[in-house]
Amino acid sequence: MGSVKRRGEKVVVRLDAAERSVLASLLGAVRALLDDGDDNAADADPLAAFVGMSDSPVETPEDPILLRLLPDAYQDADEAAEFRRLTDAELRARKTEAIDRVLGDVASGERNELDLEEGVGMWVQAVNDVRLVLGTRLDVQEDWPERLDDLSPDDPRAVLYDFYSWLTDLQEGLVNAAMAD
Amino acid sequence: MRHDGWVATPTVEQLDAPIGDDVVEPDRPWITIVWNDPINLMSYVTYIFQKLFGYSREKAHKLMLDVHEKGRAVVSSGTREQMEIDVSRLHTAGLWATLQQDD
Repeated sequence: MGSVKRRGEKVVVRLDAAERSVLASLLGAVRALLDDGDDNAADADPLAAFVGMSDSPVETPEDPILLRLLPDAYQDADEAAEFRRLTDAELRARKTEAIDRVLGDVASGERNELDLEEGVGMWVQAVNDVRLVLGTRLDVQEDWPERLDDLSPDDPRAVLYDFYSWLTDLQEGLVNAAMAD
Repeated sequence: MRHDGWVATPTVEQLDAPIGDDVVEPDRPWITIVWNDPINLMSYVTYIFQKLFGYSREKAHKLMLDVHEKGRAVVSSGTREQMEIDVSRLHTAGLWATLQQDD
């Protein structure tokens, strides 16, 4: 079982091979999800594409999981659509950047030293995006740990709950280590 | 709040403007609202409020509890442009946030 510890101005994360493999797979799945919406780029104005804006409307995701990763910024639908057109590519890029950083760290070995600003920031963000995807897929509620006890081990959701539970512990560990005085 | 000399001109224009539901009143600030959700951890939300807004741990914790217990909290206010930046940063962090003009 891995560990997260504060060492001076660093947070040290240790993950065993199985944990790194699971984390990389889950991060890769979320990365693929964020990648899929890039179809607009092909017919876009090159300058608009360069600055990350779309010259045509960017559709609001119908998939609740994608909508949870890329939420509306306004309650008003028209204003939300306009904001999405201007910022969708940038938001996807920032999320992908954090995922790629963690994928690189995980591939580099068992032990990772993260600085308190960028390193931990990227890790908690990427781990949280995986939790958002799994949590939305499982429709978790605040009492999910109790519901877990009622779940049959044969239930196909059991393994997703295992991942979710492990990622929750990992994230809690990262946040607590980052905030420790 | 606004006391610069240039504010005089928009104030005069505002007096002449038609009164209606869709009139944007320039003096009403915009606000960023964070909504409760069952996935984001309480510790993570506190951490993000400190990190993004530079709030003290006490203030960040209080705002997090407001989100958790009341379902939503106003976490920042200012110009529309500033609030759009705040919402973008909150979305990057995975929090559920919207902006609107204050009632």
